[in-house]
Amino acid sequence: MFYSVFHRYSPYLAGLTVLLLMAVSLSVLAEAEEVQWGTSIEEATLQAAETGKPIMMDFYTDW
Amino acid sequence: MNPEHEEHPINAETGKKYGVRGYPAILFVSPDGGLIKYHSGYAPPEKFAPVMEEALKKEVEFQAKLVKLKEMPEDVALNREVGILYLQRQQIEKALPIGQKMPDDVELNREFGIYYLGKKEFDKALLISEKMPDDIKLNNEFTIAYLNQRDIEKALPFSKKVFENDPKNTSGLIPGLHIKLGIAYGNQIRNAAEDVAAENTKMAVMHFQKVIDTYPKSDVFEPAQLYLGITYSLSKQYDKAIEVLEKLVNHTTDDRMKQGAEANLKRVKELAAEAAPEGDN
Repeated sequence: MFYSVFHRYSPYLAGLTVLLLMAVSLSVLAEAEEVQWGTSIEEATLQAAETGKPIMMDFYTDW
Repeated sequence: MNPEHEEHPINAETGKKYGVRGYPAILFVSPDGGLIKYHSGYAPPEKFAPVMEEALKKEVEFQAKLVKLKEMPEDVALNREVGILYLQRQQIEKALPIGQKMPDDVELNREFGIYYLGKKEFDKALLISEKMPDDIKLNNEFTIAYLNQRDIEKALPFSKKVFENDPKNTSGLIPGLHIKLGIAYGNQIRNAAEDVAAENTKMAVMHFQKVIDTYPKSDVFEPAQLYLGITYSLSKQYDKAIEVLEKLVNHTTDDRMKQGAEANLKRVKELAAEAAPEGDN
């Protein structure tokens, strides 16, 4: 608790966080009600180039 | 969602390209790879919708600027603005031709420097710094970049220049810079040899105290007190730590700060009690 508070305010220690899991989700911002999430950046980039729409990338962990 | 880290190295590469520094992070990227907006942390839907709207608006505005630039390719202010935006969007390849057109533009050069520092390309950033050695903002960025590398020695000449060139805190950067330096020294108290720990404590205290004494209206006034308390505790000066933290607990109006200060105060009191029988407190 004690040190964790220091850490929370200390950007210099953030790099110590060990990332075990990382996944990326992507979605071409959809006008439709339902968002179709893709899981490949290559695919999303292609799709975005075709449609001219921006990409939304969600970097998250599963911890 | 399965972790895809290993199977898809492009995920990590993309994160690195856009400087993803914590999770969750949501990035809005244009079809040609320009970073439109970086949103860190979780946001519930009602707070996230405006973020999405802002991203779309920013992109529309940027595209409008590009159209305008095509109409007025010699407009200096517009070139500067678009160049800076390209750098902030992490599109260096598109910023470089603009930079070549106006090699002596201070604001654009500063942004190139900040871009290279973000990429840890110190050699390129230093070349720009040589062109504008007294630039407060760039020197501030250099300080932060070297502190992020945990290199206080390299950071110091740059922080010195910031303090020298901005004695009245016109930039508003001074309190934050003291905090960052204080934290850098504070991080080197634990596990250090006694004399080194004492020196680092002295420096950390000096920086935090400076903010408390000189910048009571800055937004880091209360964090400075929290850090000062923690610094005293790290150097086993528990009485001073308790005094500082109790004052903060009693005066802060920020709930999170109060919780943080209380948690630290509780821990410091425990440490003080543990130390009491054998120490001379």
